[in-house]
Amino acid sequence: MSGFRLLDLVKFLLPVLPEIESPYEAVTFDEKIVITISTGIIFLFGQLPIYGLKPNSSLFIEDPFYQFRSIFAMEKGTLLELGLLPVITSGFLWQILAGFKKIKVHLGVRSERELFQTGQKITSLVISLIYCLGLIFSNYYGSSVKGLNVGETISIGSALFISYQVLGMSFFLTLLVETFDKGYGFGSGILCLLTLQYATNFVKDVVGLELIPLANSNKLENHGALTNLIRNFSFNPKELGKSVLNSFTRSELPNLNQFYISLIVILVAIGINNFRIELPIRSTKMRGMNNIYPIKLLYTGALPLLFAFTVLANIQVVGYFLVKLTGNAILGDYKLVNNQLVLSNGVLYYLSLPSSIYQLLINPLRTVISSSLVIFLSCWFANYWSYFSGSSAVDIAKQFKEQGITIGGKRDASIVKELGRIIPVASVSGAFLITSLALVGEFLGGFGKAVTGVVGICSAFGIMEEFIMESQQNGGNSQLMSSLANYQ
Amino acid sequence: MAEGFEKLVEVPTEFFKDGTAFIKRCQKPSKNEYLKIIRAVGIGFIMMGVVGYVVKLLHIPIRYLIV
Repeated sequence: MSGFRLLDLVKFLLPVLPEIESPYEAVTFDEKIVITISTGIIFLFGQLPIYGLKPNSSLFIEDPFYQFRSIFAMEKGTLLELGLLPVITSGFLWQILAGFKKIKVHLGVRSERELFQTGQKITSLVISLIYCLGLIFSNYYGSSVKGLNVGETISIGSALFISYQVLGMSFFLTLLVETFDKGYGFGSGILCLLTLQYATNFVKDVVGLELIPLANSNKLENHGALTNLIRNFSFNPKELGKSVLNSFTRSELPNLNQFYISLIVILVAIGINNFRIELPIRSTKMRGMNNIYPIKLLYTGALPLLFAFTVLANIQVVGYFLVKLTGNAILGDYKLVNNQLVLSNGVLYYLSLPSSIYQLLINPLRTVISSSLVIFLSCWFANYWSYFSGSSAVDIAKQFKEQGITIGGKRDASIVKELGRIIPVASVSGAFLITSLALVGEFLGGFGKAVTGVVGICSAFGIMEEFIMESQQNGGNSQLMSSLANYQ
Repeated sequence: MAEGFEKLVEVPTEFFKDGTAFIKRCQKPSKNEYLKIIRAVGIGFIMMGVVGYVVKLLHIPIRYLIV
């Protein structure tokens, strides 16, 4: 019964919180495109710097979260300081609670579904509030605040002002994600925004034109790896070899090695994404209607991977706050390397992934502990996800029955059995495969980019499938598409 | 105790056996299909990235204005 009380508690807050209203009528294809694109643009504008920090504040912030910034779109020194982490965390939390029946909710009923979504929103806000306070009290912003020198603490006024901005954006982002989830856009909001973020950063890392001053020197370098390489060619012909090598190995900004790693990871991910088992199905109502029903190897997509890293990232963020607040060295010990706070010992050290082959070899115990934790989390999640999300063998068999479909040569009762043999194996081994791929990318020095690449590509497939399906259903009624076609 | 340990080993080995058998059974995309998919995804991906990056370039003047 306690579960019902939790949802009832949410009910009190329902009138206070702003809410995206569910669409009255079906959202047209054109509207969906426009809303998706404009949401993306608003999201990108969330990466404007926080007012009240020094210009180039990212150089002053000592960054403990560098390993998973790209996974959760946590941009340093900007409004998206917390990125999608609170939204994703609360989403997973509620889904899992509901899946294990800790909260009783009938997602089929509209009012209950609304309560459920509001619950997610509130949790996301609470998490952002806690993390925001954590950032302030752990003196994360430190000397990056305007008018502060190293060692001084932040004044109450600017602390309030900064947390107001970070919290405000986090709240706004929650609403943006809700817009998607209520059916105004393509795919799931979180995955769509992550894909956009990854694609943007991918292009930025390759051709980024901005000149960024390097830490502890007066040199300027281009953000993009390729731009940097080209610029090095024209700059100093005498030191050509050195500067070309530099564009492959520089550590402060994206380098070409990372680019190649990402590229390989993306290509492999695309390949794995298209592994599938095709079940021959036929209609029971009409004769001669034969078709295939594909079951993808990545049955649960990249969600298991995202889940594993969400858990890991939350542990790291909370751990960082605890270390900074209590000064407990057993929990974690940070060392400042190139503006990044790198873990060097403690519990947190063993729960973080090594980010280069050197680190992987220097402490095999850490490698084994952290990577097996990630793989375990992701397989565990994959195992349960099909039951939570209504795509388990029983659910699919029910759908088949409703649509009058049967698997070729199988009776109704044995459909569940047949699907039950395939689906759990597919989702778990898919999750295992994709997680190992991401881990290899990380070990080669991906700094979270490998994971993001895999998640981004898998969700891009999801979005594309939905997009194509919608456009086919629409039968070319889209004004936007036809006007685009006129241009060609 | 020994039984519990056996079970602990059995689950992953079973899983690996099932998994590899499953992956072997999977339909894999042919080379042609693969290239086609890469092209489609790649174009979409790069388009998305370029638009996103252009929006991000707009940040630079705004940055100067507000900081």
